[in-house]
Amino acid sequence: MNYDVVLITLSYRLLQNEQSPALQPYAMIHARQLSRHYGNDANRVTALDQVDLEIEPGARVGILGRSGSGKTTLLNLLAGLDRPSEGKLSVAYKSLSEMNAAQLARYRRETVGVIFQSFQLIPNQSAFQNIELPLILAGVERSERKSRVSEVIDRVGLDPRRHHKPAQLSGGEQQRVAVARAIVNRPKVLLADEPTGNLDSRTAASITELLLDIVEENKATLVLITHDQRLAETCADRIIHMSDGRIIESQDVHTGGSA
Amino acid sequence: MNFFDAFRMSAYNLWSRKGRTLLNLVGILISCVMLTMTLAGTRGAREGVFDIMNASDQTKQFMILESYDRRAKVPNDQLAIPDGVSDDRRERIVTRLEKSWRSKNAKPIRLNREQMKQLRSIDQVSSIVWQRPVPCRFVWPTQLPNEESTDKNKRNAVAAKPTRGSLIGINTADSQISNRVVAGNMVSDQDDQGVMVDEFTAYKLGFRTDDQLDELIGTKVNIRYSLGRINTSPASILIPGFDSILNHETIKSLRSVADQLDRTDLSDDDKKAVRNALKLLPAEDSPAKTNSPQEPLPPDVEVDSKGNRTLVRDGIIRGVLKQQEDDDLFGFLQFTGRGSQANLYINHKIAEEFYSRKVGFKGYWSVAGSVSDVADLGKTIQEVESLGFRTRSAVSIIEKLEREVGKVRMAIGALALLILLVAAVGICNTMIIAILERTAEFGIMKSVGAEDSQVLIMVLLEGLVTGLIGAALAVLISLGVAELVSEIARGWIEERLKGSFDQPVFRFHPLDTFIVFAIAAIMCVLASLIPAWRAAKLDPVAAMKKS
Repeated sequence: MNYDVVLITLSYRLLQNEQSPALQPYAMIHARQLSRHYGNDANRVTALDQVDLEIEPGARVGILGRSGSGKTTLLNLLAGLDRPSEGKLSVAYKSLSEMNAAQLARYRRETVGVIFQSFQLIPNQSAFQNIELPLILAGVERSERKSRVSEVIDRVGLDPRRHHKPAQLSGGEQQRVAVARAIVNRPKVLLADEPTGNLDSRTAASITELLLDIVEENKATLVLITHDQRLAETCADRIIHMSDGRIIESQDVHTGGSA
Repeated sequence: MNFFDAFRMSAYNLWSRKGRTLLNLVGILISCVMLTMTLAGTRGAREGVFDIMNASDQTKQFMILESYDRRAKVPNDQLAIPDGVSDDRRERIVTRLEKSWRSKNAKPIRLNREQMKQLRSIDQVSSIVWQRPVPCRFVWPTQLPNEESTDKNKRNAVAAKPTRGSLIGINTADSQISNRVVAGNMVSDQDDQGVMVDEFTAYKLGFRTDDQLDELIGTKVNIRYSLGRINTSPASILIPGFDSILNHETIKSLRSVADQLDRTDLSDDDKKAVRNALKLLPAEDSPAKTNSPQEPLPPDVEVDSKGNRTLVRDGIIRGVLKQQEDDDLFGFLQFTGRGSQANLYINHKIAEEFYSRKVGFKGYWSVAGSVSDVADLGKTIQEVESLGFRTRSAVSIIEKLEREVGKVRMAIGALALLILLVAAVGICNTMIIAILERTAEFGIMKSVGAEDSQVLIMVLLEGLVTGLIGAALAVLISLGVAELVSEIARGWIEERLKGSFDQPVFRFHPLDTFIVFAIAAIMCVLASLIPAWRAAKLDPVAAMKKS
């Protein structure tokens, strides 16, 4: 066990005056009573309802559920793209609930890497420029940027296509660019929202393989949102089932028992 | 994100969306070209007129006139004006009454030689010259040209006796005067004896052909300048060796001292000294009785039997000057005696010395000055007037010109700014549309860690870069347009001036260029402010859904 991490986590909890003996002190992702509502009181829609979640550092977790089950809402909250309506959320020992907009932006570029189903690449920028963007925003020096982008672009196997714009790349290549962009800042947590949803089965398999290799190499925590049971089982050690904004089951893939 | 990266990204965005950028640039270009042309045109008009003024030399001159002690308070009863006079008229009449009273009662202030020196020390003043023609008598060269004229004897007779005429001091360094030399050379500043003869005077004297004019050069002219008469009253007399003028009663008393010396207890040496001093007193039958001055006269002064003093100098004719031509654009501004006619022209320093030796000299009542640059005229006039003198100059004309050019500048500049404002609204509009088009892009940027301020800066920089490119292109286009318009404008001006006009119609100045750049940049940044704010405040999740 990494005692440093435990110590830091405990100190953090003490500072936050949290009294939750049931929570694991060294969780990479920790959510308690997490809710997200949309609309006003009269027309309130609850996308996420009283979710408690603990994910250990280096874990690979798949979140399964049908459309509208709240899994993407949960991912948006974990990615710092949205704020919870209720409850507490901390990722990598940082309390997202208490961050202001600038801190959240910093969190997004330093702590997490997000891979979207529809790639979300900037259309008028080349593959290289898309991957470079988080580093520019983080204020990384030009020479350092060049070397890091070259490194990841090489890693995802897109070196010959580095100056191509998204429209000139295939779906698989675009998702590789998205993966490269997500890992270029060496995040502790990698969030993937249906990463193979827009890809054919062969390309999907290669992207899955790439993703797992990268998570392994970077010792990152992976949260994979999918409605594909097989993909979840391939990628994750633990699968969380969601329905109507709630976690209904948490299952260990290897043992088959609840986790 | 550092500024350079933000700038680079903004520039790249503009480049990758050329159509929209071009649309924005057109609006900026029209207004910036207009603004640049306005600034260059009005500067051209202003500086062009100043250049003509500078070249003409007339407008650089000013006249310093005697004034009256302004501290002298005008009695109230002198300024009493009945009711029923309008305020404007009352003010005018009071001014005239004050002036009139001062001219009669206040102490006149004239320039003395010390003040002339003080005026010459003012930085921007290039010359201060006393330039009044003064009456003189001249004895012209006796060796007149051997012309086959019937009135030769008459001319010789004229040459033998002094003739009436006038002389005037000139600034020998004044190019406008040295341009008038038709024979010989201009008198140098160090030449105290050199004189210049008026062309027509020489002609009247018989020096008519070019060769005859050449013969005149180097000959002598005798100048006789009347200094006036010392006012020796019958009761007063000037005694050499005594510092003051003693009256006859005092002299009589002093004479009686000699008779009474022996009664005193002075030593023999003292008595001798007093007797020697008393010997200096004029004898009872001396010319003192006839009121003649007795001081030793300077060698160049003659006194006649009536006590009239005349300064007599020999001058050597160095050259011949033609009359001032009245072909200058600003020739009507004859503030100085430069255009005045005289028979003889001498170095102004000598002329000043002549006048200062006049009996009862109280200063120069009118002096001509000039500045090296017309732009300094107003400042110089202020300095001179602060010394208490009245002035006459082209300042009011220059001020009027400045006002008129300023009005034109303001009017066209305001129109250009209005167009720029319209362009800014257009830019704001197209940028808002562009932001809407790029909503997903900003969402993606925010999802990978862009802060609100970073998005804001990037969009503002796009506006700034658009403005700067627009201004740079506008300046380049203006240079070309100015070339074309100048040709047309020059023809138009020449037609109206009925002469050549070689001044640039448009003058581009770095300051004006900077103003255009600054205005374009500010306008475009302001126009981008609302779109930038909207982009910065986009919700990343909602924004990405637009992709």
